[in-house]
Amino acid sequence: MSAARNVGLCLLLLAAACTKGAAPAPHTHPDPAPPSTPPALHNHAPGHEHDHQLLPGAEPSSTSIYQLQAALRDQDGQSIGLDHFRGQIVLMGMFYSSCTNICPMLVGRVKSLQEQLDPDARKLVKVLLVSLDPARDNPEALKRLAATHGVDQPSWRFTVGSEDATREIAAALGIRYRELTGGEINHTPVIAVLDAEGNVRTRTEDFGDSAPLMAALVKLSE
Amino acid sequence: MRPNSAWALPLVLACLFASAAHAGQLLPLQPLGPGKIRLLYDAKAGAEPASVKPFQLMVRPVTNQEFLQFVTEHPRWRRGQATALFADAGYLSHWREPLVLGDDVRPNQPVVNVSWFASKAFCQAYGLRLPSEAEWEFAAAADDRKADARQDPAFRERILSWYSRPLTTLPDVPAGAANRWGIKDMHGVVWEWVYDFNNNVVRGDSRDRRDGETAEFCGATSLNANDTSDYPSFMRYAFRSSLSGSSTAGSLGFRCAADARRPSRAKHAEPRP
Repeated sequence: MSAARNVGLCLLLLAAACTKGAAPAPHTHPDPAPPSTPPALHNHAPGHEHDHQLLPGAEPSSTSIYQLQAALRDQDGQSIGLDHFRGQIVLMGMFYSSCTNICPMLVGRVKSLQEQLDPDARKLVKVLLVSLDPARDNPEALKRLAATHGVDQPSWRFTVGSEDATREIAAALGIRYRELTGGEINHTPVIAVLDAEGNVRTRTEDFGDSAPLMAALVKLSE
Repeated sequence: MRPNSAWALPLVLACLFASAAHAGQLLPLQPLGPGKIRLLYDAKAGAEPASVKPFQLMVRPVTNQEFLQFVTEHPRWRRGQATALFADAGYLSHWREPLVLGDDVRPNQPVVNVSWFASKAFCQAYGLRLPSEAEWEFAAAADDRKADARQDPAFRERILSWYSRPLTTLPDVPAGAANRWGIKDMHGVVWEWVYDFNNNVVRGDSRDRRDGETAEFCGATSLNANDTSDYPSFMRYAFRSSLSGSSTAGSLGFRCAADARRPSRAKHAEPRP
């Protein structure tokens, strides 16, 4: 007998035991993923599976990273979803606050890309940066970083999520990272352009070549 | 408490214990660690080895039968339902149908053609997690006697001979003998996912190289393999470096891990915080 059936039998027996005013056992454990949802512990009673629906727009061919549903906190301490800028064009990357080497260059590059757009297009492009250092980055550190770069504004969100959300977002964006002794985090400096639905339209790890990113931004903002 | 529900609590506890016992039977875990493991790409040559806390690891890789039960219970992870973000076109492609293994696939063979996202979701569904790279390598370093046999030429040779064999029909698992931790089939059956598979900041393909590449990495200068003679480890790191979260391969499976049991109370694996 499967464990799920086992639990189902348990629930039936429990329902029989508690005949007075006993409510049907609630279905409290949705499917384990798409990601960052709490793990389900064998608690699926047969017939109680009701979470069959994919997310809106999430067809089997979907590559939208908004399917991750990661919970983030931004530099203002607000809880926001990974899809905070859904419906808009997003420049996305990952960084960490104490990074002195490549991360300032990454932020600077994103800023420069935005500045190269004409004013109408610029209004359409938002920036979402996610920390690779959830253990140490907090809204205060993110706020300082945003201020340092002169981009503490609604269209720029510096965010941090759980360790698991961080690993999943990195996996979805093809970002590799590892913490070194001493707190430094070795990572690939990916910048991605997301369309309105969260599909990665182009991405680059190459700081020398902005052309593909600019081309995607211009095309999406037309 | 309601009049006729006094016996319900013991009943429920008994049922939950039975379920947990079933999970343990379904996914047999073995405690191991603590210990230290020197990973191929350490922070720098001469750095302290990585510490591995006590943990539990499945004795063998997850099987087709177990994965079939998972996708039966979790429809969004069926072939044709899992989206492209989470699994590429090869996902469970060796099964005849999304819920049918077919005549050529045996229930107790290790499941392959599973992505990192799907493997992770499977483990989470049973209150477990994927092992970290350090945990996996710690378990894989042991032979039947030594905790770290990686310097033993015969041990390396056995692994390399498997790496060099073309993929044929996968055996049912467990297929091999237990190592000193009681873990089987770390080598010789399938490659396996680890939680932090995407932690090797090394280009898998030197054709990508361009001028100024070293400027792309924080800590780029620290990427020194500390033991270039450990070729089996190098092979695994290189393979992991070639993967994305949605990748699948006919030789790539996984096994689940869990934190160590708490000394009291916990009857089954604790979910990751």
